[in-house]
Amino acid sequence: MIRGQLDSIKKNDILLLALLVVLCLMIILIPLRAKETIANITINIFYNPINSVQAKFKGLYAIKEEARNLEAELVEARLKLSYYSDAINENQRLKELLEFNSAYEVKLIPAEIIIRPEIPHHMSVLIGVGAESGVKTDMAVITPDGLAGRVLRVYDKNSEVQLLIDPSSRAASLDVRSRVQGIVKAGPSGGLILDNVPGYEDVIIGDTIRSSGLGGVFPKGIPMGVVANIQQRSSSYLFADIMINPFANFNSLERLFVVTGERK
Amino acid sequence: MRHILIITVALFVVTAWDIALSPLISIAGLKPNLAIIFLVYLSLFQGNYSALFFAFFWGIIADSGSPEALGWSALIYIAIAFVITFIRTHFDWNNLTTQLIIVGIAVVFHDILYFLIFNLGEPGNILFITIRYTLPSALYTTALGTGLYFWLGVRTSKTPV
Repeated sequence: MIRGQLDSIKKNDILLLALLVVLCLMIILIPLRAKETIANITINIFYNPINSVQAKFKGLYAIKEEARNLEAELVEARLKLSYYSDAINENQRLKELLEFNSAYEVKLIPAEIIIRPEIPHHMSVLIGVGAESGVKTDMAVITPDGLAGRVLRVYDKNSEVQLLIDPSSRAASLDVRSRVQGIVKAGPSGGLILDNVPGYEDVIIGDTIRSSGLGGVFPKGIPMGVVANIQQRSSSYLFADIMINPFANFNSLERLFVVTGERK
Repeated sequence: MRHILIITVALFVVTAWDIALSPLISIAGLKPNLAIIFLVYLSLFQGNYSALFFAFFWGIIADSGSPEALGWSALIYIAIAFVITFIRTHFDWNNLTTQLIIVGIAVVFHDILYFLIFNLGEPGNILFITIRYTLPSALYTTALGTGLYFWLGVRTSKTPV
């Protein structure tokens, strides 16, 4: 029967199939550098033109409103600047007196998202900065609102970022109010959950969750989200189900920043 | 020439969808796989050449976000295209329901193959991944396919190549 079906398919189709399969296997087996070259060519042909058109459209709509907001922010910032400069000087003097060093020297590398791979259970994005810009594996990646993920793989000009909502992502975290520590990971409905927190611990709805700095991947103090719901599975089950609304909007990520800061 | 044009347009449409629209209609991390909808359409109504070339090039484009995996998606999409063209003579492809069933099965086939190749997380996760992502994604894609195929008038105006 299979033979009959095969006969119904033209020989040319089989030849084309064989050719494309061989081509795929060759691409799979070539060195990573060559793969990166092919990927870059593909990005330049398909993704970059569409990205730039999309950016222009979005920009046209957003630019007027942003200009208005920026004007207001500028006035506000000028007022604050004079106040903060005094505060910074005073803070520096006090630090010198106490011989205190800040834990982190934070620097940010701005990055545009180039591709969101269309793979449902693999939540990552490709950003347009890589090893040439100083990006390294495991660096934290943030949005202006909060933690977005970590650098999973670094290429010369691009990097793959594993988002917090990826099923295999884990981030050590703490409740800012009560200092209760836990692990933030992907939740069942596209959000996040705070795991490993016993039901008797002091966590309430509305608490802000930040990275704890434990584990060494994410610097301490990056906002992650706010506690949205707490459920105790049963009186005999030790841990509570704590749902978190992430600050970063993973459905509309646009600008990301790679945190290149290191512990002193 | 016509086939080249169709493949090129399809590749740009799916890429644009991937960049601009897909994140907006994502529900709880689930996104419909427009590439599968196009692939099934091409496999059934535009012939083997269009389907296989589309599968190859879209696979390369899809993997360009993760260069280490380059080539695998192309292989999976080619397998899907070939299986559809291989078995299509045994079904009534002018039936919309049949077309949609094959879209759903193709999404499940794609996701499970992808998982098996990359063994994401722990191997024991396959059941969780299938229930949490693959099946809902297949349903979502099929729902989108219903609208698209209906709109394209595939059921009434086209016959299999």
